Amino acid sequence: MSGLSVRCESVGRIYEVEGEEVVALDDVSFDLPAGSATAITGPSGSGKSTLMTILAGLQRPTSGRVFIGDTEITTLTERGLLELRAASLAVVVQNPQRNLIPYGSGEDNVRFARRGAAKSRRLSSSGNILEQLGLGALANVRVDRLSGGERQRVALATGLATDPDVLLADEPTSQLDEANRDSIVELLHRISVDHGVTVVAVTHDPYVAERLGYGIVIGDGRVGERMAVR
Amino acid sequence: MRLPLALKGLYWRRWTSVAILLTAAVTTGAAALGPIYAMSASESTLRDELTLAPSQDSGLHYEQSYYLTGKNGNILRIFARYQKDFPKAGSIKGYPRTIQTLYWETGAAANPTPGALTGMVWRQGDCAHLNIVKGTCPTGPGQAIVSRRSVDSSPFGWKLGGTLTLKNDQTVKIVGLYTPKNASDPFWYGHNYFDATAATNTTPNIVDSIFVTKSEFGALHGHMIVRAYVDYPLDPAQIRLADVPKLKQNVAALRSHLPMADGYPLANLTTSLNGVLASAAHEQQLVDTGTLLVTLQLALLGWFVLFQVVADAAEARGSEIALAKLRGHRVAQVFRFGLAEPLVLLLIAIPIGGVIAVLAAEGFAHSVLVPGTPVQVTWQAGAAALGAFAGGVIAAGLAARRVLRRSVLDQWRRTTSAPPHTRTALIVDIVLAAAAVIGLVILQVSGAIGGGDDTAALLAPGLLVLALALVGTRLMPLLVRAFLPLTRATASVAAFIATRQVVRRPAGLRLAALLAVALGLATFGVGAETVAIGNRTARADGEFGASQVVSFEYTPGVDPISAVRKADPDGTWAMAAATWLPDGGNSVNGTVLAVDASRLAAVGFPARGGPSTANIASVIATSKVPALVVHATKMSAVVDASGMRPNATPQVQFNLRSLRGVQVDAESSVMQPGKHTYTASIPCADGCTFLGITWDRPVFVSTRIVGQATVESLSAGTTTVHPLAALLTQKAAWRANVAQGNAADHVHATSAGVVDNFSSHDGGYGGVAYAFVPARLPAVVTPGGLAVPTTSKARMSVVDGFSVPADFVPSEVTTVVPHVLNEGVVMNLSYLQDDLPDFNNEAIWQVWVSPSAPSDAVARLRAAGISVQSTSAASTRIAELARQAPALSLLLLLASAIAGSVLAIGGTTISIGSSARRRSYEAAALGTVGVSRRRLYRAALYEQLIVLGTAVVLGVGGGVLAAVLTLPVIPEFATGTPVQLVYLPTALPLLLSTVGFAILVLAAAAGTSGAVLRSARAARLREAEE
Repeated sequence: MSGLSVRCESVGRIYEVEGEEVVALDDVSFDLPAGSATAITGPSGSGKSTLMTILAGLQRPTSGRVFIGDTEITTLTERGLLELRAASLAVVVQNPQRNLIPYGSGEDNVRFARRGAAKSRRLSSSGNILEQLGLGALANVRVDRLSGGERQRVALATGLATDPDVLLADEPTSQLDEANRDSIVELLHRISVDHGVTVVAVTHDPYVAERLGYGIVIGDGRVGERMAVR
Repeated sequence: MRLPLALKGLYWRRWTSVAILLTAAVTTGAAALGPIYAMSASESTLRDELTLAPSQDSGLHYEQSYYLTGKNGNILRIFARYQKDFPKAGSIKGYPRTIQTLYWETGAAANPTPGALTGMVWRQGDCAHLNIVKGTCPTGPGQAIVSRRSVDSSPFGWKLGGTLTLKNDQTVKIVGLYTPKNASDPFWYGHNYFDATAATNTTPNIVDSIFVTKSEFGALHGHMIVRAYVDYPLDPAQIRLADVPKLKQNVAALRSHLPMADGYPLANLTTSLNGVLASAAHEQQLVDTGTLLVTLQLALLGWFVLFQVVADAAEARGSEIALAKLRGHRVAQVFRFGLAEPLVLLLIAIPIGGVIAVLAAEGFAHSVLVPGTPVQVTWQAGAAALGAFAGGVIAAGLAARRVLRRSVLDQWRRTTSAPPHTRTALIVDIVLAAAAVIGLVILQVSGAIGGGDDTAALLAPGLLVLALALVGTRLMPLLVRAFLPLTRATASVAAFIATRQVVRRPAGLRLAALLAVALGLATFGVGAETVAIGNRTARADGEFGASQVVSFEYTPGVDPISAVRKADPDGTWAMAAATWLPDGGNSVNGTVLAVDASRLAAVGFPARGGPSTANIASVIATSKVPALVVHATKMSAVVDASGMRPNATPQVQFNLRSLRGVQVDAESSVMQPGKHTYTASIPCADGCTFLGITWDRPVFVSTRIVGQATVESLSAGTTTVHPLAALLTQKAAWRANVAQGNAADHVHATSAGVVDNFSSHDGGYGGVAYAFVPARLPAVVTPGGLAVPTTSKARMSVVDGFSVPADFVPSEVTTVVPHVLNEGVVMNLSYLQDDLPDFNNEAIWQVWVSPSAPSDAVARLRAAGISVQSTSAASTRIAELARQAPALSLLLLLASAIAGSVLAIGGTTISIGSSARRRSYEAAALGTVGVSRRRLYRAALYEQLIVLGTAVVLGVGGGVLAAVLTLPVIPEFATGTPVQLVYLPTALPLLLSTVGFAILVLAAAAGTSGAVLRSARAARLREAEE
């Protein structure tokens, strides 16, 4: 596992709300190296989540191009996007209910996540990711009985279940206490370092950016350059 | 892996899962119930048809007549020889036994009294079906048993221990007296063994058959014709629908392969089985059509509810489906994941639905159908269940399609994606409503509506309520819009919010239409069942005339009216009645019903559409003159005679009838000019009814008799005579006697007494009749019962077997009368007895029993001398009518529609509950701007009440309208009836069902409104923002 680069070229996104155009993203460009860990930070309404969904291929930009590795996802068909998410791209969103099947155990969710991957990939990722991430104790507990932090960690683990090249995490530490936040950030760091996955975390929390080492600040739909955060 | 996860999901959403499962199971059950019910109902109607058909119609009858000469052999050997070629008992399914019979029509006389015609019978096992009231059954040749009433009839001189000489001069000894246990028992196969008829001028008396042993026939000698036959009574319990084709084949084969000898058939085969089976097939066709239509409607209703419930469940799983897409599952995988849970439920629903169908069919079979009707799971039921499963899969696919095609982001933003009421939906509704109207028109044009017994008319109510529901629910928001200004002016925030919600985006509009259809069908079902129950009761009451009809055999010497009055002295529960087919008169071509008018109003039921029993009684019993009952041994009259020619004077004869019905003609002396007292002995110590005085023609007078006689007084007594209150000075109390031969009497009353100017020629004679019986019997007639127009001025009369006429006048013309319905004439029983000497013998006798009869009514009748044969109750007939195909279809409709309504209400609750999340965002927003939770609850409640209340109003209104409009054209019976049927549903059951539906809907609205409120938390708003 070596990760893939994530690159945006002049990405813009304009919404139409009741006949008026609202600019969510304007000429956003950056290039995140393969295997890096980067936090995209910014205040509420700055366009972080819009950027995340565009990177995940869940919506298309109004302008610009997005590359995951050498693949331009802005031109991919829906099927191509599905295959990309199944093969290379893991997405973990803020609301745990949207990351996990609430009535399944951690193990169920890992299996469910692997269901979309190609068979060869499923075999190669057949190791127990929960054990590898130190979450073996939660493997057989029903998700809706887990705490918020546990859920988020299991969600990250399921994101890695298909051995992805890129992990996109949207506000992975929101609504968590400090201890849980630390453990999540530690997990993201390990994912990046130990597994070589390119980690992109959208967060309003500067601590996350600091721990991940690199950050991009977004404001009013525009971004600055990727820089080291200390 | 997938199945366990699906099962976990089902458990996690267990209440929704249970709701879907129940909906699917009920839908599957409804589909499977149709064929199972149709099969059971057809079995039941077949059993009814076979059971109710006379045994001689459903059975087989082989018969041959043999002319015995004394040289061609013994009849027993001949009989045994040709029977070898007959089918053996049990060799044909349905005919487990044979009854062999030998019959010889002979004369029988107890010398020196005159003989009578009778049948000498040996019928296999006959003694088991006869009450041996005295003596024993015959055990060998030379012995016979005769009917008790043959012995009781003194003219024959028959007695126990006596000897009868037969036509061939052989003799038999009377070793026992019998009465038939039940002459209409299938054992007797309709043979006329018990048919006593008094003699006419040209024929001898006919008496009940005499029963002998088989060996008696072996001992016969001389020339005679003996009928030998074998009856095969059908056992209806052995015949199922599946047996019918084979049964027909077997009977056809028997017909075409009669046992032959020397090129001639050994016997003739008689049966009307094909007619019986054709009638059953007609009912089966009615059952099949009715069941199919009812099942189709209810299965469609269930399917729509299922669709809605599954759609809501799919919506509820939107986040999981979005997750599958987020994880990159392929389209097929997402579909499999999305459909796995409903498919599991639909699969589980198949056996559960099957069990529901079987249990429901068992319930119907036990409560409505003929006892013992089998419930069979047929391949059609399996196919229907699989069809329902396929329909469920389609419903699940269609319902999930929208969710499965929605993008992940749209799914996450689901708060704004309420299903829009698009133009397409409007067009669909218009098309459906138009199709419903067109369907109604087609039914009308094709004749299904108004075409008699076509159960296709059962589609009409469904189509009507569908059209009303669709149009009504579409109009509802427009109607509510008109009230918006009013809510603006009111302080009720809840009403303000609710009306705007309804106008803007009413939740569950589609379900409201569905609910309206379900409630409409259920309301129609309730109304139809109340109408059907009422009409079945009216029909049975009309056909019977009373709560129970006790058939009995007339016994000479036992006057039925007197016997019944003895059993029921108060006249509250029993009435003598008789049906009679006149021997002549050419005025009546139907049946005469003779009733004891004094009790008809208390005991009888009217035939709906005809006059009341009190009205009939007042019409047919017009005489205000009370009968004159005499308990005496002698009778005398003071008669002042004048104007007579010498040697041409009549003989005074008193006419009475004993209370046992025996005519008493007591001769006094020859009439003399001047005032004289004429006395005669009368055998009336036990009581006789005085009928009149005949100026009898002495045998030695052949010339014309003329004169005037004034009867000044009438007396009777034993040792001494006492004056009778004979109303001799009242013209209404006396009239001319029915002239016998060439005679004329002109009767009037004076202060001195009754005056008769009489004349007779050529052997005729007349007299005066005590007019407690009118000269022309008043009758209530139906046009179908008369052979002449009711307006005919011609003389109308009925004639008995002695050719004695009784004139009658159609005092009231009506469409239907009790018991004989539209082909009958009702007259007063005692009048007919008085006018027609052979009436008692010819009539078929009954006792009508009212519902207030004591439990030992039959025993009391027996104790009073009534020879009871069988008893039948109107309630039995009601049950039979309830088992006819149209009634079974209506019942299925009612049960299914109620189940459908509960399903629809449940589905609505689930659907609105599922949409609570969507509504909760709006409620949460309103809460943040200060609207109290109580008002929010009320707003949600009002909204649901407006929507669901509209469904109730439309459903109940549509159901009632459908009942009023379509019930007159929906068949309720397999055959028509002249009894007037009423089609207005009974109000109370409709009211109760409406209240029940309203309570359920109210509970649903309250529950779902609570769900909305519980979800309306401020946190929702942040969720919506994501």
